[in-house]
Amino acid sequence: MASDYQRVVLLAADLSEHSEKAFNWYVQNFHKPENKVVVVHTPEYSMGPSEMSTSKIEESIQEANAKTEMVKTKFVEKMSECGMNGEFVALEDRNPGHAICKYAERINATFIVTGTRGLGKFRRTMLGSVSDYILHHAHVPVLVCRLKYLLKDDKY
Amino acid sequence: MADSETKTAEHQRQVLIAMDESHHSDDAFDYYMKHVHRPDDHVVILYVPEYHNVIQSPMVMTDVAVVSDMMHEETERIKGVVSRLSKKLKNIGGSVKSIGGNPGEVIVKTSKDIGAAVIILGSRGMGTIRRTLLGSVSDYVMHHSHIPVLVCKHPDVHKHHGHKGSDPDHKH
Repeated sequence: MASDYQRVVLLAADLSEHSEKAFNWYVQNFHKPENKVVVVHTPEYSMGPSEMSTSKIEESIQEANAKTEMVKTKFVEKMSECGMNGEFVALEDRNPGHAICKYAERINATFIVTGTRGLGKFRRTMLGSVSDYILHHAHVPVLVCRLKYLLKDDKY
Repeated sequence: MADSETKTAEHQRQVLIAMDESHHSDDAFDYYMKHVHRPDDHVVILYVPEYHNVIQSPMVMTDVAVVSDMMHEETERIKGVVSRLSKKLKNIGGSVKSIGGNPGEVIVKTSKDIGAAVIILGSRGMGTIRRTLLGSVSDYVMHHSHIPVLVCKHPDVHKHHGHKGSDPDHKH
């Protein structure tokens, strides 16, 4: 199947166990050696309006950057372990779902992979769900790695 | 990765593809074949028939003969759909299941029954509201599935969305 077309897989990641399991699942079940994988992370700045002092803001940013570095290190390592053609990109946006969808368009992603936090209906409404956002707004197929059955026994 | 190699040799992966008569399902199937399919996959196409005609005509419920005629028509139609879907599996291992009921629930239950590794769906079709980008069935499956779900979006979905004029998507 000699074609110029290369699959580009966009994988949304953070430091959670869900994210790691989603990545592992993708590798075992969907990945093909010729796929290019782009792992993206959107740093979340936990800042309320009441914390607007300069030092607090700096602290927030440093924390977020440190987290991003950790995610980067983790996934770059995982990608090289699998011997996959991959890269890591940090995206800046208050809305992770929005950032991911826009980026997917930009790089002409073949599909997006996301894990879920397994939030119940109520918390999803209150906290917002990134995977829900992506499902509703992405212009490409979305693989949502719901892995309830894996949370207990770690087969992956 | 010796582990995954022995796994695939031991058993086939069960892939559940939920389909209806809309072209969204066909697109989802084609997408699966192009980007996801692995040679040892066992594909189960699940069709959840909806008895359109009978349900939408409450007034004929009083005439048994008419109802049974309609049911017969529906049964024939469903056979036709199953036959068409079976043709898709010509060169790959698989089977077609036709199970009645609430589509979302049937899909999730079937995925458990067959031990599916993944569920593949289109994003619309299956009796959805035209305005939404994500159908009610895909939404249900998304939130009730215990296994990963691939929701295939076709570029068409976004051309039609927000267009007040003609909607070429006549099928349900």
